[in-house]
Amino acid sequence: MTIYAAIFYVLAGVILVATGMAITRRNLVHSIVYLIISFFGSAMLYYLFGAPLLAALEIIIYAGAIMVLFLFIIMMLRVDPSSLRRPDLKQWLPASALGLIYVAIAILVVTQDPGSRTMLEMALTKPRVFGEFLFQKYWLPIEIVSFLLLIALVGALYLGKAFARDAREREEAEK
Amino acid sequence: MIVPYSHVLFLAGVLFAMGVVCAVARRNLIMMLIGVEIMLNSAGLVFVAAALRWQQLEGQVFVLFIFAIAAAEVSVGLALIIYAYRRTGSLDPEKYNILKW
Amino acid sequence: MTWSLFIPELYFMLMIGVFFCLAMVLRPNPKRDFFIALLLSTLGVVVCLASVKLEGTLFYNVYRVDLFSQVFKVILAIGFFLVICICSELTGIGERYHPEFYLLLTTCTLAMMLLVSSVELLTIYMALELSSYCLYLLVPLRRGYGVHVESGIKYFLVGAFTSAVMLFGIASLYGVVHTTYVGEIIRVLPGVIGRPAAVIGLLLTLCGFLFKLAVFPFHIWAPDAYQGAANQVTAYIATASKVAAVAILTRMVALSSGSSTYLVHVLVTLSIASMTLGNLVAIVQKDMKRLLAYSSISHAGYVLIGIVSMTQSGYAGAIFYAVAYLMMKFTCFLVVVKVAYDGSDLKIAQLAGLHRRSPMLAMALMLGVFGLAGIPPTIGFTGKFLVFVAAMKKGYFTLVLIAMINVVISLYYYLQVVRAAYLLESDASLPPMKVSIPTKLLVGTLVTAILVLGVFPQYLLELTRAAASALM
Repeated sequence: MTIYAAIFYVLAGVILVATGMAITRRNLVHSIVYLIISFFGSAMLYYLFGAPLLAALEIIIYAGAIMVLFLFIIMMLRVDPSSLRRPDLKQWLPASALGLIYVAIAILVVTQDPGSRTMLEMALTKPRVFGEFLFQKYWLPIEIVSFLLLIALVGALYLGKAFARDAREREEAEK
Repeated sequence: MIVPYSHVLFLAGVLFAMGVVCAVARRNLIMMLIGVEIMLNSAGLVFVAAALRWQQLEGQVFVLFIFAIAAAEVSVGLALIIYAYRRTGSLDPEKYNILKW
Repeated sequence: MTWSLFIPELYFMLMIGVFFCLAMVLRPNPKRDFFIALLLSTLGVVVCLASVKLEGTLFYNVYRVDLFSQVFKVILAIGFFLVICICSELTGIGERYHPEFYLLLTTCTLAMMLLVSSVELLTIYMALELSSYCLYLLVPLRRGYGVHVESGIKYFLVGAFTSAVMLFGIASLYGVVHTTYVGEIIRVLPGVIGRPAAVIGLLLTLCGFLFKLAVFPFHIWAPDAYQGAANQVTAYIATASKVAAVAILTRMVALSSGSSTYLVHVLVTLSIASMTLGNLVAIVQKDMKRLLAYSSISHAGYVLIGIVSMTQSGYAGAIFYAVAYLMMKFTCFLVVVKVAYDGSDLKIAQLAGLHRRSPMLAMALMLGVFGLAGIPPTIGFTGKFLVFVAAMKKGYFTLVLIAMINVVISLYYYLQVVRAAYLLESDASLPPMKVSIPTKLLVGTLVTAILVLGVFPQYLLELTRAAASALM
């Protein structure tokens, strides 16, 4: 076992434990904090797999922007942890069954697939190479993403104003 | 030499299953969205590992696009959730009569 | 001159720009917005028709323009135009938000056009996401205090979930076949289809498309989204977005070229489950839009029969069915929009006395519903016939038998609708409905098309066969 393998297993352990904690916490803020740890672990894995740019972006966008947005919303809505009811069996049963099926599939895939035993070799992608590749070959998807973000922007703006609009319309209807 | 590809696949599979459990358990709307984020993250892990396995860049490009998707998803999803919360005062999907025939 | 291949998409991008400016700058003026949209969408159909013969690839081969994609672009443009036609009284959506409505609708159409032409997994995925996001946002755009927020959230969460599943599927598929080009995958996949990772990857990838088509386990959004959205938006979801889903599902299933029996088994099961469930649950529905939602779930099952036969005639049948479905479903929604002129939901009982209030609409509804039920000589019968024959040739007798039984079950609720429109009298004597001349023209064209293409399907059939042959 090389030192890199050891790093991988440690990170994998951290990610699994942190995610497991995140999905079982009742307090949403705690969940988010555990999730940030898990995403940091993923970022480290990206670095290990030779994608330093993605590692940086994972921390900036995922662990940074997205999770902070979640935190912000949770704080804004002031979700009271005690108000969240404990999920009953009816909810956990199908969820766990589905999860177990996925794990079973993963085991099947891992054990039955001859190709998956290939060892991963170390490699490093320079951000410059990555950027050149991205903007040469994939610029149509980039255009589509720009449309997607525009639409998300329009939608968020619209939904943000929608509540005030509804209240106004209800007032008008009452008149 | 790091680890066999299958070990990464297994890690991502378990992570994905956790995300599925979190999204399907339907405790509250924010947790469902978090579950989907975990699933997206696990897919990203597979992509990076596969990119390394084939020594190609396509897999890494996919991950970059996953970030964009996740950002759009969270902004739209949270906007919807706030809108619904203000109207119903609850984040509990059970109260939304959400699985009726 | 490769840019000329991209003209339909460029035109729609231009249109998005126009609506974006309208949404930002000017005061609300629904009439003006409607006329601009109508004009631009008519031109859109013309542009798509003009570029039908183009062929070539663009952007490092991620984008392929062939007969298959161009035919679907024309169908999508026509679907978009038809939906715009029924937006003259857009009462379901606040006046201030009409430009946003058109903006989202146009972007969605553009995304689907990109979808049917993409031959690379990342592009396909992104185009699919773009079209889904437009629809997620169109559903809660509805005015009033109804169920639209709940259905919007439900639609969004189910959609986000399936898109994550699909992404995981693409990841495992990529891990096996080391390419993201559909053409390359076709070459590599038969060699590795025995590996679990490849089958599961392909299946999970298909989940995203099955969600779009509202096939059985991914159908749970459909009834609520159909009911919660404004009538025009529902019409769009039920027609144009289904056509795009059929197109991309056909392209993806054609990938495996019949070499995986697992895949066939799964698709056959889903097809049976979705038509049976759709038809049985539709029987108890009281709301017209919910009924149409369950009927589209069952129709997704019928389309899958064509796709699952994995022959050229099967694919051609599926494409033909999609066109037929678009026309028949749209005719039903046209009546729904006109009868529920205030933008509310329509109960089936509210159709009572329609034959007296507006004979023309009642006849259109009857023909549309008969088409959906598959009664000759409508185009719906021809579509079902083609699909069933393709499946019989492959020896799927049980599947076709179950589909036949389903067709008989579905007759019951379709006839309920016709009975409401023709035999029931409404309690209060409602005044006759005013149907404007353009609407009459539209209804006339649709009815003629449903009948004529049902009796003489040759031309359309040739076209779908040629389109399907571009796939193989």
